[in-house]
Amino acid sequence: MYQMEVKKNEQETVIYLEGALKTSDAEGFGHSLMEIVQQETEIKINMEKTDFICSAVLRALLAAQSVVDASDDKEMVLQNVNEEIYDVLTTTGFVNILTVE
Amino acid sequence: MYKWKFPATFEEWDIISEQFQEALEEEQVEKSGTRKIMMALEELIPNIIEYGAKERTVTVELQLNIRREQERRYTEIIIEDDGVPFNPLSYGGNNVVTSTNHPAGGWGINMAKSLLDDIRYSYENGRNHLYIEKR
Repeated sequence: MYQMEVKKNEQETVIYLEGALKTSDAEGFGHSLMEIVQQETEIKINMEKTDFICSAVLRALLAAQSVVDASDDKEMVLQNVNEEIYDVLTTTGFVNILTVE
Repeated sequence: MYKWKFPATFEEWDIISEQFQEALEEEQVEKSGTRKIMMALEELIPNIIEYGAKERTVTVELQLNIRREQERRYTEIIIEDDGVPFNPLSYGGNNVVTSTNHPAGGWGINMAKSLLDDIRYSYENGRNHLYIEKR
């Protein structure tokens, strides 16, 4: 079970993800993320409280990144990723496609 | 030893995965190990649900055993199902994403392999059998 909270200020939109993002969550998460990415320009995904993710969520992140890349003024950054998720991003090559701080 | 038996559906797996994580915590498996195991299972069990149980009702049996040898602890997991024969280890290869247009598929099993220390597949008596070990 995961929770998603979105906070927006003048500069950026921050998505706070808490808990585990499982395969059954991926479709809903993907829709919500895509909506935000299409509307906003500076997007931060704060994963400080994210326990783990799955490959279906990686697919959702990749789809969102393709929208970001197609735009001149959009940016999406993953922040505070835990060591285990970072290892997965490295193994799968996502660390070279996504912006991870 | 912990055992679960459940129909291969996402609704059931969501419930069992919570119980499985609680069992790992009860057995004091360290947080990093728990996350890695849960991420790996989140690839392997959905594979059974999405592919093995596509056209028929399938039952999954999941076992968790903590084996202790001297000072070391080994987390052993067995996943069995009566779905269509499906060896997930034959997929994945070396599929590393190189662009946002990269075709999907194979990342999940790559993830699972990288997160675990040992993973073996066999098909015996009409059942898919996966043995997993995390040291």
